[in-house]
Order: sequence, then structure tokens, then C-alpha cells
Amino acid sequence: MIKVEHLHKTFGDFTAVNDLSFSVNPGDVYGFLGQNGAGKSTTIRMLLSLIHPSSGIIEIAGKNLTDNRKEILSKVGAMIERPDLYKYLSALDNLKLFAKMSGLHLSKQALINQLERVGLADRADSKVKTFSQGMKQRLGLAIALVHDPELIILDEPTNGMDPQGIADIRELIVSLSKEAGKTVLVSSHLLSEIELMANRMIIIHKGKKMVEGEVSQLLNPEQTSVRLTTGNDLIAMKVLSASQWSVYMESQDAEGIGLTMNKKLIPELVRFLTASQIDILSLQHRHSLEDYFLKLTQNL
Amino acid sequence: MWSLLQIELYKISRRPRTYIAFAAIAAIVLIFQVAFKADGQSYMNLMLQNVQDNFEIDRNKAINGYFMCYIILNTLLVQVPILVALVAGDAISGEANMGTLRLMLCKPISRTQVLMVKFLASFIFTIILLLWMAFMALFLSMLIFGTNDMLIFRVKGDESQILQITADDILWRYIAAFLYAAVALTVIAALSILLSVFAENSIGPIVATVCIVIFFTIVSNINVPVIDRNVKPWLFTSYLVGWKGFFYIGTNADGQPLKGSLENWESIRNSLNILIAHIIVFLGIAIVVFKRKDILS
Repeated sequence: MIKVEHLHKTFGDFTAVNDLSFSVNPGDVYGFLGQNGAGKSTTIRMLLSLIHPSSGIIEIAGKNLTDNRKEILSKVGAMIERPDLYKYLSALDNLKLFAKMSGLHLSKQALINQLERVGLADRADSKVKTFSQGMKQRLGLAIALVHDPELIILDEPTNGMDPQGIADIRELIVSLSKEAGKTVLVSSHLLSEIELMANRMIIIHKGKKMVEGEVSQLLNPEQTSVRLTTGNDLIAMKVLSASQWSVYMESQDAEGIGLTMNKKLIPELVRFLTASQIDILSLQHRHSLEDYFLKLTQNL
Repeated sequence: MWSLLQIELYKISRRPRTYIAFAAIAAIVLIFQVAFKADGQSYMNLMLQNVQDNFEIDRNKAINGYFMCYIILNTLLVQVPILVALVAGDAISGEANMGTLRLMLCKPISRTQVLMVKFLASFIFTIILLLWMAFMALFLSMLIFGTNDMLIFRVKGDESQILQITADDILWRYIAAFLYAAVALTVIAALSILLSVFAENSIGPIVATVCIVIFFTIVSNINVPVIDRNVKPWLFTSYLVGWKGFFYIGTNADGQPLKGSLENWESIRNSLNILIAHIIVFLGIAIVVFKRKDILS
């Protein structure tokens, strides 16, 4: 559905996107992950022809974006960052205007049905200036979906939403892919959020691709990082080194003992340490990719 | 395109800012009308003090609806560019400021279409504003003060002139003057839209347009030969008041006014051409810049 090759964008001396290539398959929920300032929004804006690439090729639905902009955009629905919308108009009027811009003349009931989808039907006639950021995000999503696009591009769609709102939007995104067969590209700076929605993902950092692939493989439970602190780490190290657990050991420092192992083995590890009369003070685990992503973030 | 234009007009009609212009015009016109109704004779005495020995003028009839409209337009058409800038200056930058420009440009619409629709909407707003002005300044004044022959006070070179136009020769001149004003104000709209393309907040282009108009108008009014020859022809503001040319009636060899004639149609036509050229240039630059612009707002 999307094919990006050697995409490059500079603003003066600053390189926002650097030789970025990736592809999104039809039906994917594709997670676009990176810390703030990584180049996610710039890339998304290039996919929507809001920003002109310095070089590189963007193909959507098999067609070059530069040469087929209007045709491609008629199949794309997008929500970019915080949609502020026309504050002096109602939610219904906003939706109606953007539907018209897509060439649609929908009935009031059809528009209300769209608002219902994002949980705003009861506020259809309220002016947007009375909306919270989360409500504006919902309306932005309704605008992105109003013309039933094949490809949906969402830039940080859950920003400013409450936990229930985040869960609702997540559910909607997954159902758009699974039930309606839509392709969704969704950006976020939170790995946990991408993990819950996407089947494929990319991590970008300083405009460059760091890793891309299937979420199930990238977040493989066999690559879980475990950090353990005990009553006496030196004794715990000796006990672990002399056991079958030695193959999983990675490091030992002031913050505890580090192991990389299958997540499923954690209860067995706890039982072994307890049986060895070692007091466990704390045990934290996360995916190695999460560690990798955190390191990127901390290096800022 | 028509659908997009409808959208733009709807948005303009729903913004409170739009109505500031109509309220301002109504207020200014009403102040003029009340003041002249109360004490128009003083004004007329002041204007006629140098020529009262040469002319036999019925001052009661001289203050009529046609005359009032001319006086009001003389004042208002200098201020109206500010009112046009309020709407046109907001066209692109206002959308950028609200975060709606990026949503709009994600739709299957070309940027040229977006800009042209914004310009057309500003043009229609300008026309409606002028119609409102015509209603308030001309028709309301005709109702309040009645109609009669119109006197035009004019300074030509070193001499003051009074031109008299008969009542049956006036209305077409006003229609022509309003059409000319529409073209002149469309230059302001095009300039505002051009400046709007560069900005991401509404205030900047509005203030910039007003500053340019005020600065150019001041320069246009400096009566020094070197500026007359070398600077004024290049300033669009020199042509904004060209509508007055429709009230400078032509005369025969004996100096008698000729009904239905204009003193210098060539000058009016040239001014119109220059204004239209400005619209094309301003819009052309705006389209080129807007098409190349990265939307970062």
C-alpha cells in the first residue's frame, strides 16, 4: 500500500529525514515509532504531500505520489497531530465541510453516524471551541474516516486523550484493519501503544530507520530483559553462575543482575532463587526492543 | 470548485470578525448622515467660501443624497482596505493558525484551487461590502436627503474647481465608481492573500497589509515632482482613488459640462489596467509560493 524509498528531507542545515525506506502492506496496522523529533511527523507530512521531499520516492497504492497526488489523496484519510479544526463551527458542521472537500454530500444522519463511531454523536451541535483536546482528536478521527478511505494515516491519534478514550481509539483502529480491511499507519512515541495495535512497525531515530519488521518478532518474548535485585547480589551471582541459568546471564552491576531470557521462564527463575534461599528484592522485565528504544530516548 | 467556494463563503459568514467591517461602515456612514442632517450648512459654507461671489448656489439643494455619498466615499474608501485585509489576510494564515490548513490540503484538492477559492471568496466579500456601502452611503442618503444636482469640489493643480453634475447624469457614475472600487479593493485582497501565504498567524498579514497601504498612501500624497514622476506611478495606492475620475465631467470648448461624458477616460482605463495587473502579479506570486511551501503548521 505504501512504498517509501530513500526518502530525504532537509530544512536548511538540519536533516529531518535521512535515507528512509519502508513499506506498508495492504491491511497492515503499521506502527511508526520514534521519540519526539525523530522525524515521524515530517515523514507523515511527506506521505500526505504537505511537505515536499528533498529526494526519494513515495508510492501509495502503486502510484507515485508526486504525479498522482489528487487520486491518491482521495483514498487516504489523515489526522495529523492536534487537529484544532474550525472552533466557531459545530462538530457536525466541521465534519460536513471536510466531507464536502472530499467530494461527498452526506445527509445529516450519515454525518451523525460518523460522529457516533467516535463517540461524539451527543455533541454534534456543540461548537468545537467547547471541546477538550481529546474530543477534538475524536472529531479529527471522524474527519479522517468520513470518506471511507482505503489508507488511514494517524499521527499520534491518542494525544491528549483520557485512558478510556485511548482504549476506544485503539479498539477502533484495530477494527478498521480487521473488520473493514483498511490499512492504517499510526505514529506514536510509545512502544506499548504500538504493541497493542500494530502488526508491523518501524522505529526511526534522527530521521533514520533503526529497525523494521513484524511486531510479534520484534517484541519476541524470548528476548525479554530481566533485571533482578536480591538481598545479596554477589551470592545470587555465584548461585546463578553455577546453575542452568548461567546461559541467560548478561551483566551484574550496582543496579542488580541482568538476564535475557524467555518471559515464560521468569516464574521458574523465582522458584529457583527462593529454593536457594536468596531474597528477591525486585524483579523487572521488559522486551529487549523496549530497552533499545529507551536507550535511544535516553541518549537525547 | 463551486462546492469549495460555498465552503469558504460559509466559513466567512460564520466568523464574527466578518461583521466588524459591516458594522464599521454602518457606524461611519450614520455619523456622517446625522452630522450633515444637523449641521450640513456649515460644511457647505466652508467649501463655498472662496467661490460664493462667482456662483449662485442653493445650499439647501446642494446637500443631497448624491453629494452625501460622494463625501462619505471620499473618507471611507481610504479605510475600507483595512476591512478587506481583515478577511483576506486571514485566508491562508488563519487556516494555518487553526491547524485546518493541513487537514484541508490532505484532501484531494490542488493548492492552486485552494488559493483561488480563497481569493474568490475574498473578492465576493469585497463586493458584498461595497454593496453594503452603496446601500448605506448612497441609497440611505438618497432617502434621507433626497436627490438633486451634485457639486464636486476639486483641487486641480493650483486652482480649486466646483463641478456640477445634473441629477439625471449621476447614478451611472456611481455604478462605475463602485465597480472601479471593487477592482481597487480586490488588489488589497490579492495583496493580503499573498502575505497570508507566508504567515502562520492571522495578525501578521493583516497588519502588514495595512502598513503597506498606509505607507504607500502617504508616499502617494507627497506632492514633490521627483516623487510624482519616479515613485507614484509604481505604487498601486496611487490608483486606488481613481474612482473619482467618474465624477470629473467632460466639458465642451466653451467649458460647459457635457452630460454623460468623462474628462479623462484614458486615465481611468490605464489605472484600471494597472490595478488588474497588480491583482494578477500578486496572485501569481501567491500561487507559486503556496505550491512550493512546506506545510509545517
